[in-house]
Amino acid sequence: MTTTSGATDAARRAEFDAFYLAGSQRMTGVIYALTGNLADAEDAVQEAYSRAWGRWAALTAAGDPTGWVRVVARRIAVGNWRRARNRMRAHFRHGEPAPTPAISPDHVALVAALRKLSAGRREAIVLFHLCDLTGAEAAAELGISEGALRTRLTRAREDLQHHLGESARVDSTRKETART
Amino acid sequence: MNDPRHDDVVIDRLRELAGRAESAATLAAPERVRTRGARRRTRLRVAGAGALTACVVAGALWATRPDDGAAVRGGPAASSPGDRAALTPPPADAERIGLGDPTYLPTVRGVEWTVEGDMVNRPDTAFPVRLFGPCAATPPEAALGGVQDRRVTAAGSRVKTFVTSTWATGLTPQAIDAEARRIYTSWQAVAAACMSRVPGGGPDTEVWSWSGDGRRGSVVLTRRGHVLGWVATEMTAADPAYPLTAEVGPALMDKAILTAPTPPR
Repeated sequence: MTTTSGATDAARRAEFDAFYLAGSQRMTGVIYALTGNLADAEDAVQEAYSRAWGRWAALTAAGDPTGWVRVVARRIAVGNWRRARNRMRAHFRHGEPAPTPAISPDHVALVAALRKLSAGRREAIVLFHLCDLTGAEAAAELGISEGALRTRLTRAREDLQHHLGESARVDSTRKETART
Repeated sequence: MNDPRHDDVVIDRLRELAGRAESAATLAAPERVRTRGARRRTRLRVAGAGALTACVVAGALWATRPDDGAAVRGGPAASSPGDRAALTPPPADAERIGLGDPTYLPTVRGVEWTVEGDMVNRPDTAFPVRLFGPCAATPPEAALGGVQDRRVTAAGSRVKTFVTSTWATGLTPQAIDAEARRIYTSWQAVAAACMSRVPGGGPDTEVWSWSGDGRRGSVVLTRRGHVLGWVATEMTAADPAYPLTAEVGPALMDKAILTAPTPPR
């Protein structure tokens, strides 16, 4: 009896480990696109997976736990982001920290542009374009209609292009000023 | 109107950004994630048990509340002795739980403690209860239920006591003890980061002291099985010296036997 139970526990652990190793890197990339801070993304992802382990049997019985982990990680990340805003403002007085090492100026601009999006638009664009969810799946995960999702996506892309254009204009002005 | 080609460029950049973050991410090993999950679950159970503890302690104290009601907070529903009896555990239980009188505190001439607001035997589940002075910035243990007691002097000195228990239904005695040790160790780490250790005490009782901004204080950390607590002071220059000693620890534990004092077998 004990042997069976031990074997079951070992199987559950192995199943969880495989699930974690297969998906956690990708999940971190997705959450990073939401938060713009790699450390926060790593922490949110790790916390979401650790919560998943706490209810692993129920989650696997209900099917693929990926969606559940993504929703939890997203909520943790967005919650942390909101809580951190004031703290971040204080940090910004001393200069904004680099979002993550080894990222080009283009990527810094993209992160800055993402940060300017509202949380709803950012979530929509990340779920639809990075998680490769269908419109129906992304809308369901956000608790909105497909029409509302389409609107959010359109506005998010417009906003991104606008902010990136702004950033490019500022950048080119700086370069021009430096050259003259 | 957006140019769809620009949309594609932006989305490609977004994917590249996420891909780079994936590569740069340093994630914990799966066993560490599982351990964190298991610990979190234990903590939730403990917090739940702490909340229950706090409720029962508060209820018990209604039963022992002095008639003038000055020392202990009570509710209108428990205003008559009959109502209180109906709402609370038997007096025998009330005798052995709670921190109703601060007999664990040393008596020093010139230091008269009075209850700070309604902060006597205050059951709180939304912690942290913070220490004083340089340690106030770091909560000793977040989301831990228990009971606290706060008192002040006329000159503005303060003493704060916090007691909790890791007893929880469904946890094994080993898990209960391990959780108590873990919390005690986390308290030691907080104290070590901002105070100086005072010699004395033992494995389950330690005294720490601090001073700054014209104030000074002590902290006694203590544990007995699944019950653990601390007493912290912040003394102003207008009050006499009031050093806490290691004897406060056992005295507090004698006093603060919380509800469900017998762990599950």
